[in-house]
Amino acid sequence: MTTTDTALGEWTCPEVPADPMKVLALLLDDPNPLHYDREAARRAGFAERVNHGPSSIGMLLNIVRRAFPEGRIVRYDVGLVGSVLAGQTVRASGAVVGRERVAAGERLTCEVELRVDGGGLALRGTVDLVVPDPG
Amino acid sequence: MGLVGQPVPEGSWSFAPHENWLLHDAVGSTPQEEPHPIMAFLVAQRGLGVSVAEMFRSWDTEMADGPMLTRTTVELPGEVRADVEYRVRGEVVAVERKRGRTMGEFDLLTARFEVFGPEGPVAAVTNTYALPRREAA
Repeated sequence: MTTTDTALGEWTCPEVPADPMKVLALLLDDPNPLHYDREAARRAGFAERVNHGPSSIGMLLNIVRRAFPEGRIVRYDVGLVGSVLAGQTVRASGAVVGRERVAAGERLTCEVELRVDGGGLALRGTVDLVVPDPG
Repeated sequence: MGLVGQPVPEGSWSFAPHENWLLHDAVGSTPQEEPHPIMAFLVAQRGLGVSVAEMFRSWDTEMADGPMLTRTTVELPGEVRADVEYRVRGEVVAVERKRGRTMGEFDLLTARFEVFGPEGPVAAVTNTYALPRREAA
């Protein structure tokens, strides 16, 4: 990750819960049992149920939303390079690496990543948002 | 490759306020009226005229084969809102044959999905999937 103009701090999920994966399976209409059936996940070689990619991306976006609650995310580009499993600890971090004046305020570009404790990098990407001028 | 340019059947979808609440909660976000930015991804997926399984099947992939999302780019010129009907159309834009140590032969297939609200485009989602391919006999 490029270092830092403005670090975003860290967003942590101490234990990725399994039950919301069932909710996500319904919301996404995703029939893949790796996300809700522990035995199916184990048969496929995973120690636990696998978090949906969009769910992990949602967690990654949370760090930007927390850092700039008044901003509006206008683009995100995320590569999924590793799995996130139920019960794991995940940590999102990032930094502002670009700033540009736009009509609505300031457009910020953030580099972000999501890491699994003991498991390495899961997601890496960029998020662009527009932060309106104060007042 | 033969799949490039293949459309995904168009459809539409709207999400209810409680689905917005559930999505926030499921991704570790405090539920609020404003949808989570990952909701645009869901709208693009649910608004197609086919299920996820049917979409992959049209790309010669069964769910049991283990298709994987490897990259997503979401552009948000507008905002999605609860109780609004969104129309979605999609198309395969690229296919690249690859070979990996664990997956063997697979295709990296990229599809672009455009989401339209009553007043025009609100989101575009470009997804790349790794689709395992059986080895030729």
